Amino acid sequence: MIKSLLLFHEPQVKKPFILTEDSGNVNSGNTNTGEDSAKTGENKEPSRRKKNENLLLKKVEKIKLTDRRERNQKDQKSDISRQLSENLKTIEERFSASLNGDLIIRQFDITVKDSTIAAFLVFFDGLVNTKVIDDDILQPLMLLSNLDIKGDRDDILKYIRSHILPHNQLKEVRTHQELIDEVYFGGCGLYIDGLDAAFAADVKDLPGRSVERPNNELVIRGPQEGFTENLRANTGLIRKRLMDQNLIAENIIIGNRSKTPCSIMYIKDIANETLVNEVKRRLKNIDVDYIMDTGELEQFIEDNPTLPAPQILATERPDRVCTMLAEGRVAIIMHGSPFALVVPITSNDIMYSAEDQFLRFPYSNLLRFIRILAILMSLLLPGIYLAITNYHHEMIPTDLLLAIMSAREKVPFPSVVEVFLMEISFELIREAGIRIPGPIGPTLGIIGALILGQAAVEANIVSPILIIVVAVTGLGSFAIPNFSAGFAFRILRFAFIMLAALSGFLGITVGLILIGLWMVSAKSFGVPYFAPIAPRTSGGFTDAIFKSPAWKQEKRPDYINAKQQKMQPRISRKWALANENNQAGGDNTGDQNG
Amino acid sequence: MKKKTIFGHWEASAIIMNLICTKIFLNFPRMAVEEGGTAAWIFAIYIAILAILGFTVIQKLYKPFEGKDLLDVAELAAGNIGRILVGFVILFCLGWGTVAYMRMFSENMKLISLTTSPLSYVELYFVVCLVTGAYFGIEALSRLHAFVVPVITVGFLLIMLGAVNYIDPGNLMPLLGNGLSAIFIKGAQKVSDYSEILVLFLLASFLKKYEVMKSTGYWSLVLASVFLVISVLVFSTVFPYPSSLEITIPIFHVARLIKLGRFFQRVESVFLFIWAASSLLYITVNFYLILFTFQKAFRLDYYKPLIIPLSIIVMSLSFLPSDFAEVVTYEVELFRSWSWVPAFVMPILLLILARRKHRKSAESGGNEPQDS
Repeated sequence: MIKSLLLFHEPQVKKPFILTEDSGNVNSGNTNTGEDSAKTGENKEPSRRKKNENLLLKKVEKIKLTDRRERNQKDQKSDISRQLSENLKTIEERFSASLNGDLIIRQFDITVKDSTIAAFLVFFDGLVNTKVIDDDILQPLMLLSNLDIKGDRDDILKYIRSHILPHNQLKEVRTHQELIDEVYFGGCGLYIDGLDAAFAADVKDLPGRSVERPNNELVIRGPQEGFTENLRANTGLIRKRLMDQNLIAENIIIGNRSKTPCSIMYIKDIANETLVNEVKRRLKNIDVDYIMDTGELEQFIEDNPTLPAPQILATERPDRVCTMLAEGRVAIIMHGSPFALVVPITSNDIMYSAEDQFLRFPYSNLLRFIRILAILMSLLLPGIYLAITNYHHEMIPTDLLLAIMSAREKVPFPSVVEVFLMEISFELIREAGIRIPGPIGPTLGIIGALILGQAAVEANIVSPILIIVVAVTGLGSFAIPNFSAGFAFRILRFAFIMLAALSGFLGITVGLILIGLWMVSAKSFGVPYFAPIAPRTSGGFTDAIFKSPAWKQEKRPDYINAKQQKMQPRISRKWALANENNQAGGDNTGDQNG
Repeated sequence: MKKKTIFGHWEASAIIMNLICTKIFLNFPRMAVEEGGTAAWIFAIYIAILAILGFTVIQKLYKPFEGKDLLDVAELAAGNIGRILVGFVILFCLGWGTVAYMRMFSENMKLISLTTSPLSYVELYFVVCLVTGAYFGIEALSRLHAFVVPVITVGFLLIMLGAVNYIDPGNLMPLLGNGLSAIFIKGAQKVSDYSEILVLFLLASFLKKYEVMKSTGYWSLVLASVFLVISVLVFSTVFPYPSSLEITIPIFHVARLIKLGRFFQRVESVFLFIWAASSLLYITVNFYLILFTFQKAFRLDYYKPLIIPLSIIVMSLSFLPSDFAEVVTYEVELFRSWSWVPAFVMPILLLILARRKHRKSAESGGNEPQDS
């Protein structure tokens, strides 16, 4: 880093992604209906939009072309043999059948009048529902005795698909790889002798937990469901809430070996097209063998990997994802992860809890104020304590100064050592608290409260006021609703302690300016991280720091550049108007409902 | 290759406001009292009006040069040599601002809280800030201003409000202070206190639209002058005229007086936050603009290689004055007496020249720049 500061290198030509307003009409396969075009009356200025139109058209065409080419290649490359024995050999090889104990290959015959056709099923025990295989696949095929085949043998494929197999999710595949991918995701492969295609039936019954309450983002008011590790259950949880015909869940596979299925979710007539394309572009261009969780995925797609604060929101609440999708954002759900990712976000999003939306606005504003206070305390309190005790004694009222000084009188360490000692101990308690096995959990409380609290003070290692400072700082950090942001503030707190120890308030101010510069220059999927405050966007303050009432939130955030800016009309509580009219026209009591 | 940064009216106003108002925390109220005596507030209003009038003339002349900064205008008026010469003048103004403010703030900071630290150590913090700011560029700086300047403003107003108990309107008497000639004739050259408006003409290329530049100029000048007048009014009513002449850091001393009950007293350390933030932003923006001017005047492709060498030069230059008093003398007696020439007269002359050239070229068939 020092080298790059001192030595100059010709900068590489890079075009950073900046989220701009898009055409809204250009959509591959998502051409707007008449209804949509009527809505575009509410969209942003068409002249501005046109600037991006050509660029976007080209991009869309390119994507279409690539898709078509890929599809054609797939169609041409049918590597399934008409000889069942050859297919069996390939499958055994590809699945390492001799080594894999949980791989089941079930060979059987399909009875066709006076002859029989050999076939086999392949699936993994533990990933599938065996009852469904027995009842919906094996039983119809094996017990079938009146199969009447007309025309050439290829008709068997259509006939089996249309008349024999009653299973609801049956996919015709042309390559072994396609079938293998399905089998790994809880499918069951069916090969039939004489056909150069195979069937993949979705019979998955993946082991996993059911929908439970979220563990980290608890709320008192609002839905109590959290995501699970199952992709389809998670997309289902979103669809259950957002019954919008324009809600799209596009599939994408990530990981060269892990083949982890993911879903990109967005509302096609709200989400900015360039944003959706950028999300797809980033996800498609991840070249990694294995990917296990959205925690990893987040690191692969974020804009600035060194920024302490998270640039992507990870949430385990379907209702929060739905709210953000409705604003025009894009969600990424990954199989195996109970956290969905939402992009783009700004610094405000990490300060708000899901509950804010469900509470009346005075209550949520109180909570927001407390959270901002919590963030400031978590970040600055130990630093300010150090600055005051070391450099700015004069600012403490005399009585308090005497109290602090008399408490510190017997402590042998300088206050910076004292603060570091307590902060590190607190971090240890926190880390141990997460790792400690349940039965010995209470031990931690004894250690924390007695040894690090009371005993440390009695032994004159730390002053009692510092215990209060560290405790309040800890409380502040627990009140931060975003887990990743909590980490960011914890790391930065140590930097502020150092700066305060070096030069008091000047150091803290320098630290704030440097971190401020770092943060304001960051972007989350092309959206400035401090929007709508810096840069200030139109209507930015409506829901930026404090929340306005639900009926007053008329527009989507400007910085998201959604296709439709309006969320609701200026007067959304129409009943109030209707009431007034009724009263005016009905009785003349003179009592106005304002 | 280069990404053109554009920022809005809010960000630009915040930058200009902070550049003009930083002197509140330094020596402006005292300087106003020295010039106007008990009529310092009239003097502050008078120079504000002069500055607004000066800007009105400039903005009228600027109309055909939408999206062009002062260096572009200089090039249109007098070619490459004009651009380089104007570049040198701007570099001097910005350079002096950075060097003098860095020294003055560091000295004050040393005086107030870091009494045992060497000056070079205090200045190091400023250098770290200006180097980082320059690396992040004007976009990040403008955004930072957008939310830090309102916080500074609120802090400043709270301090002013806190001192309400100590205001004695009698301190404003005699009403005309040092006399009409001292305020209106001799004091006129102190319009240089608004010479930071020069930065707006450098930011014109980032603002793109003439209307944005115009509204930014007026908004920042009006708001800045309101704050300058408030600071002078509070300072000269809180401290009697004779004792106010002996105060080195006026607003700091006002903050020291604040005492609300037994607990809320001596808030001057809180004042340190806004004071340091304002000065750090001032120096950082000034330093970035030095780099920008250097790059543009000499048509360099990149400015980043200049950051470290120029920061070392700036820090070294700030050590040249032998003591704090010498810097203040240069700043008040020389720079703030004559900087109205590069800030107001130079742009007017350049714009007139550029307009004449433009008219000539239009007559001979040229079509640039467009009169909007």
